[in-house]
Amino acid sequence: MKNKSLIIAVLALLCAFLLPLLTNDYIVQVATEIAMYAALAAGWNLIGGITGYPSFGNVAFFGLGAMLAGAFSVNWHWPYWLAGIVAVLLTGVLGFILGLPILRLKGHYFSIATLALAEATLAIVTNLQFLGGGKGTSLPLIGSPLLFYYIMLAIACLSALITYLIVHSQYGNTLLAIKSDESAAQAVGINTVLAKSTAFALSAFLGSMVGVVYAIWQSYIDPPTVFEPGITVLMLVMTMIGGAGTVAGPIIGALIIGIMTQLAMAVSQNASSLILGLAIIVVVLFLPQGILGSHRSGKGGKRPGKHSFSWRG
Amino acid sequence: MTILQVENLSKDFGGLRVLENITFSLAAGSVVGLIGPNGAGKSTLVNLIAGADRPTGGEILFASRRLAGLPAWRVARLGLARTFQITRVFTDLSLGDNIRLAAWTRGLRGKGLEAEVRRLADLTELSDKIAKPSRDLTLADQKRLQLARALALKPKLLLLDEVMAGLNPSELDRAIQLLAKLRNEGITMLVIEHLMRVIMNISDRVLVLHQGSLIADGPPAEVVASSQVQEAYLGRRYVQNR
Ligand SMILES: Nc1ncnc2c1ncn2[C@@H]1O[C@H](COP(=O)(O)OP(=O)(O)OP(=O)(O)O)[C@@H](O)[C@H]1O
Ligand SMILES: [Mg+2]
Repeated sequence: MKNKSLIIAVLALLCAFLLPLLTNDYIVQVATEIAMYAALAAGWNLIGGITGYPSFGNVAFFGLGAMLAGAFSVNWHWPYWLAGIVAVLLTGVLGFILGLPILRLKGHYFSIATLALAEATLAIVTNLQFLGGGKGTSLPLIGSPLLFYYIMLAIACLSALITYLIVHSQYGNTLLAIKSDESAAQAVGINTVLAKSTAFALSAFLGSMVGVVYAIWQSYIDPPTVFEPGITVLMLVMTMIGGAGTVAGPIIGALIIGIMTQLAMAVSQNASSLILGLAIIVVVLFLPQGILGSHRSGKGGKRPGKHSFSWRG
Repeated sequence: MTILQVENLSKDFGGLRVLENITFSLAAGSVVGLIGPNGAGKSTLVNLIAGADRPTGGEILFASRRLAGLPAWRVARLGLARTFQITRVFTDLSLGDNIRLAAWTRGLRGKGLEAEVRRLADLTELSDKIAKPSRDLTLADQKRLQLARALALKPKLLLLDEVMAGLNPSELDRAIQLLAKLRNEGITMLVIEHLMRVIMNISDRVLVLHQGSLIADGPPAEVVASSQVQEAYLGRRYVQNR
């Protein structure tokens, strides 16, 4: 079982690596987006899937990564790699600090608070002159689609690796225990506030990293685009479809949604969101546990169970 | 030596007074039964001592340390473990991982950790189910698992909230033997139980809670004989049951 997963992972990585040699620019562009969303969804999965706190505000971290890196490099003339590293670290720390109060809320309350958090972050960013004061930020154009494909692929792999390490550690079990029953987790001595906030920080860290790369890839960013709530919804939907709480789930979900989006656009440019929406509903209806969640055997341990994604009040 | 001291403890839920000026202490190494009718406030008392809920007034001292205001996880790490009346196992983890997580949190690693998990699973007769997802366990096994998980904290004081409810007579006998064994290891226990047979069998002392107040505190035989206790509690169906 473990070997089989490893072989599949290596083969998938090989295909992804060779993809640009075998296809055209359009496919590479789509694949870059899929890798980007796979990384975002994996980041969402840490807090939403494994810890059981469905965040509706993770786009805030993506947006902050993009805007902060842009601002550091434009205003302070930092090299972009440095601007990016500082932006990612700052966002991670912010995720931890924001997690302390927000993660006291549960279920719907948590979801609403995170939604508000993302909107508040957008409002603050829009009003800060340092971050462009609501106007867009232009970054130097690096016209190398291949470079960005491989960077996004590397981040997606890093996200999967981090998830793998967490899921196979006692820290991961700590998060799963919190998802099962937070009072019981405290009763065995787990500092749940620290554990949850750390998961939120890691989620913020990954989201921010993707945002940093997205900004320089697009070479132009503005707040409404990088704080678009739909981006969070995609992270959530992809994770759910692939299998919340699993390592491969977010990747599979990103692949499925990414490909379905392209197919829907090919059928009809105008009705593509409608087609996509219907497709999502069908998948969720027939695979409520997600693709990986549905055919796991009762082996014990880390299988995503019936309640792999729960709305507890 | 006193391990737990509860002084004038009160708890209100909204306007409702659920516990009123509770004062008692537990001697280290003793096993004390806590009985009382449904809704008397027994589970609320456990929640307060374990830090899962805040008292409205009063003091709790554990090994001379004030517990008031400490979060439940800190209380647990001080060596005060509890079980839940309505079982709360980590349903996303296997039975073994439930125990392992608690022992790991206590600081065990590597071989010592694995040995402890096996020892506790043996002790609670769960060895053959160690790889089972805990969501698939029967209620009796979930109760055992909660006990094993609490013991994984190497507690000095164990608060047991109806761990034996729902066990059949032979299981009950083994559970009583298990508690006797734990007492021999020096673990102090506060045992909530509705079954008088169990309480009479294992307790050095019995506390009786009635409508939020302690109405009796003494040796089991004396408490059972008390007319106030008979009236409040035993006079009804429990005396007939056992
Ligand atoms: N969270 C709460 N909010 C409001 N009232 C509560 C809460 N928890 C308990 N109560 C009330 O407090 C009283 C004591 O409840 P508790 O569960 O402590 O009783 P108990 O002695 O454990 O009863 P049982 O034998 O049924 O387990 C009850 O009247 C109960 O309804
Ligand atoms: Mg109770």
